[in-house]
This record gives sequence, C-alpha cells and structure tokens, in this order.
Amino acid sequence: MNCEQLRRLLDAYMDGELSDAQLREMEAHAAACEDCRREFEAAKLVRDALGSLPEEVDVPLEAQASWRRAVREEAGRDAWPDERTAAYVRAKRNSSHRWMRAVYAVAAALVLVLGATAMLGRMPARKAVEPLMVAASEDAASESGAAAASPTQAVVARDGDVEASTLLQDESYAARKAYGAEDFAAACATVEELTEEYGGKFTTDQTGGGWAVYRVELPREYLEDFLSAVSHVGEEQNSESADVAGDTAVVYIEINELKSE
Amino acid sequence: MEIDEKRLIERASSGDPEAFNRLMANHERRMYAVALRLCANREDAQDCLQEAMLRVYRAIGGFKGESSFSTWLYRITMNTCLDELRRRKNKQSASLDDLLDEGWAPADERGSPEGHAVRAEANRVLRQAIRELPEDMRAAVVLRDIQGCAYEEIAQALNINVGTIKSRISRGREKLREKLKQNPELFDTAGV
Ligand SMILES: [Zn+2]
Repeated sequence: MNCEQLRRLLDAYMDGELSDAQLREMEAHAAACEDCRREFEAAKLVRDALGSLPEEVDVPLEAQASWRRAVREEAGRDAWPDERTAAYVRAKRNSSHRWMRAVYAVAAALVLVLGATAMLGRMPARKAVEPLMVAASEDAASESGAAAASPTQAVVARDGDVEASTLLQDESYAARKAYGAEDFAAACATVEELTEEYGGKFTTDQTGGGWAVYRVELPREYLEDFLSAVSHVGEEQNSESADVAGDTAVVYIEINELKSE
Repeated sequence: MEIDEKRLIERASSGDPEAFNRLMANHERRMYAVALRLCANREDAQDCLQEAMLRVYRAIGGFKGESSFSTWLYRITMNTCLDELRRRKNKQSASLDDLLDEGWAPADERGSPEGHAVRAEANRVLRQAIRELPEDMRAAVVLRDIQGCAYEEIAQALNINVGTIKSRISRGREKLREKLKQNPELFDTAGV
C-alpha cells in the first residue's frame, strides 16, 4: 500500500467498511510512514469522538413545554373556519337547525338582559352571568368587571393567561368533537348548560378570539345523550370517539366561531 | 410501533394537536440533538426545535411516506437550522466559552482513563472545528458521523445527490483531521 491508497481508504475506514485485510495493510503502511500515521490516527480520533456522541439528547423541560404551547396556539388558529367550511355552512344555513338558531337568539338575548342588568344595577358581573357560567370561567369573569359592558364577552371568558396546556392533557377521552357556530357565545353557553344538565363538570380554555375548548367530565351513562344534545350547537367539523372504560367519561368539545358575511 | 406511529401521523395530519404532541415525543430528542450540533448555542437550538416542530405540524398533512418519517423530520430540522444560521450570519455568535456541553458529552466512557482524557480533548477541538465548517458541510457531517445516518438518507434529508453528499462529507472529515493535527498533544498518548 502506498500513501495515496491509504488516504483513499480513510472514508471507508470512517464508515466502518474496511475488510480486516485492508485494515492490516493500512496499519502496516502507517507504522512505516510518519505522515500517514498522523492522518490515520486523526481519522480514528474523529471516528471515536463523534461516534461516541449520543444520537438523542434530552430536551430541557421548558423547551418541551415551549414547542408544545406553540403547536397548540397554531392548532387554535387552524381551527378558524377556512373557505371550504364557510362555503359548506352557507350551503346548509337555510336548511338545518333553524329552531336551534332560534334557541341561540333567545339565549343571547337572555345574556344581553343579564349583562345590561349588571351594568345598570352595578351588580358584579360575576353574579349576573352566574346562571350560564360555572367552574373555570368564574374567575375570569369576576376579574374582568368591564366585560359586562359587552354581554357576550362576559360569557366568553377570555383569559389570556390560561394556557391550553393546562387543559389539554395527554389523556384518553371518550370523544372529541369540533363544531363551527355563528353565534360563538351562545354555542359556548349551550355546552356549559348541557354539561350541567347531564350531571357533568367542565373546564375551559379560550385562548384566542372565536375559539374555545371544553373538557367535560360526566357520568358514562349520560354520554350518548349528552353528545347527541351537544351536536346541535353547530356544524360538526371534526369528530372522534374511542372506547374508554370507567364510570366517568371525558369529552373534549371545541367551538369555532364561523364568521358570517 | 409502526402501526401506532402511522395512526398518530394520520390523526396529526387531520390537525389533532394532541396526537401530534404524542407522536413527536418519540422524535424530539433526536431533533434537539441535531439542532444542538448545528446551532451556535443552546438558545438557538431550542428556538430551532420549536420552529421545526411548527413546520412539521403545518406540513404533516403532506407527508406521503416517500422517505421514512424520521428522515423527513431530519430534513425539516436541518432546513430550519440552516435557515436560522443563514439569518444570523452577520450577527455576533456566542463565543465558545459561552457554550454549554449539552449534546457534546460522550454517551459512553469505555476504554482506559488516558483514552478518556484524549477523547475529551479531541471532542473539544472537534466541536469547535465542526462549528467552523461551512454550514452545508457541517449538516452532512453531523448526520453521518454523529447521528449515524446512511448516505442515502442524508441525500434525502438535504435534497442533494448521494455523490455530492459523499464528497462533501469526505472534505468535511479532512478539515476535521487537519484541525486535530494542529494539536500534537492529542497524538502523544494515542500510540499506534
Ligand atoms: Zn504514507
């Protein structure tokens, strides 16, 4: 073996592709040639040092949380209706759920009255909206006293500090549904009321305008009825279900505001 | 695992962020390892990891399985890091002293203690030498000699012909050897 031949085999050496015979020849030449000895040793160092580095490195917790949060925020934006959804809704608008929209109108009016009462009577906003709100949304409502000035805002408790990650745990759920609704506030209120009606509890995250997700926990025996009742809040955009054992069932309901033209 | 991963990919493709998070929990450590080795420092690596995750989330619906999922992830991670490096080209990068050892500590410590000392020193020199490689070359060397990817996989990840990749890695290794040879103390105890 000469110098040139040895240099040409260095990559194959790095790649672990040399035969024993080739290796022996390289070593024999290196023993007799100072330059090639250095070169060969350097190749060994590169191979050993880089080869001993791990292929995986633990991601610091804050970085793990950070990218997951970013993805959830991105997912929230995605949940906004796209052109296709809007067209679908336009096509169906006049044929479906006419009566349900009437219910929304009544619900919205009710909220309006309650909100106005809160304003005029200088009652705390929290009291005024209590019939429509439980659990997590209470704090947000009491903090934002001014929310009563815009009644629908009071129902749609928006708390920028609430992170979706606190709600959307990696857990098995019985169902996950997404609905698009023109009257966002009324749809949210309906989910909340139905939860109560079927003996459940909810927590909610509403990190962006026109988007809300509810985590509802309710007795398994009411699951089917609850889902069927909830299906009237809007146009179904996404639906998934799974067989999960246990006496209580966890359901995620997502509401996306549909912009009307 | 394959079937499970396939199902998670399908669910993530339909925009389910929870399925996405679960899917990527199996891959984030490898993506982070690559980012740490391409970027100038830890903060940049974490920024790149996050940006890469967002790009994967946006693009996953278009993943059709032409390459393996992990190769596809390498590709997105690499592109993200390279974009970031180009963007910061004119900015002052962190000095080596500011850099943490994260990602550059050997996974195993076999062999003699003398061997460890030499390897640790070689490691330090190589880490700096890798940072001084042109970005495209650095990306190829990291994938081949640290991540252990096959040439074909690297060609897919970097969207470059296999022949070009081989030549690029060969030249990259040569530069690394040159840097090591400038440190004679590395060779005194190594012996033949
Ligand atoms: Zn020679």
